[in-house]
Amino acid sequence: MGDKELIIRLKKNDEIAFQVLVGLYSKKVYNTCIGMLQNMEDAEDVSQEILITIHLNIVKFKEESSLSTWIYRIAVNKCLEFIRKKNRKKRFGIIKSIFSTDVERVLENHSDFMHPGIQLENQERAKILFKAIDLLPENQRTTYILHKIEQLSYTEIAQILNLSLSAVESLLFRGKQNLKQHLAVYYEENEK
Amino acid sequence: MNTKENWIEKTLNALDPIQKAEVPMSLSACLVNNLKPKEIRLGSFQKWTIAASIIVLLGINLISLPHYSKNSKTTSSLNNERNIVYKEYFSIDY
Repeated sequence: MGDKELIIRLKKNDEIAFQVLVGLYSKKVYNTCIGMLQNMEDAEDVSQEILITIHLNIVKFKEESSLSTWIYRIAVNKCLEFIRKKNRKKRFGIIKSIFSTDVERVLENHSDFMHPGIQLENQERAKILFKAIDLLPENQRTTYILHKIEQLSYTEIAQILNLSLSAVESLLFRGKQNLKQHLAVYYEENEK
Repeated sequence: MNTKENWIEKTLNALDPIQKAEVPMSLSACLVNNLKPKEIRLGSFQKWTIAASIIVLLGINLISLPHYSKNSKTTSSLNNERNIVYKEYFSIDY
């Protein structure tokens, strides 16, 4: 089933078409969420929300971009929305930490995130890299994840984020520079 | 390249042979459940409670209806009396 036919059938509320869509895109959506959120449970919840949003809003899809671009755009926006919501909650962390138990505090700390698709020998380094990625500004983090984890081309990233090619290149360049700086600081503090 | 730069470079490349994570089965199961139209089934107790509350509501309305019409009659007669008094005292026809 081609994208065009899939869209037509999805707009007709065809359940089989939705199952095809889930089969084709759930892995992409889930992996984008893992990279962006760095938490497996959150990634599963947000992926579910994204796929339901796609199902409910497919009628509004104007087909100005490809289906894949549209889905990635929803995924990125939903993840950023989730992160912002979580950060808002963190602002009340000081008050909450007074009342919360130690176990809760440990559970809230996702800094030791381990991506399931990373080779065993790279796992320790990947943990450090993910911590550094988490420190990047929102737009640099998004482009870096789409490029490194989703392995999308600059053109695809530009279409998803509604940016020019040069803007994507510059974001990736600055992201890499910032990552190098964060890693240098980490090296000085821990590895030396 | 010194050790620090080497370490940074290796860390930056840690994601390079990355494999995509498999979608958990629970995700697709949840999706199927979420998209099914939900049937709301009421128990007999709930049905009778709703029926009883409708009857009570209608009953209260029926009981209060004659009282309401009586009140409106009395208020209209009172208004008429007031109008007569007003006309008597404030009319310009001497």
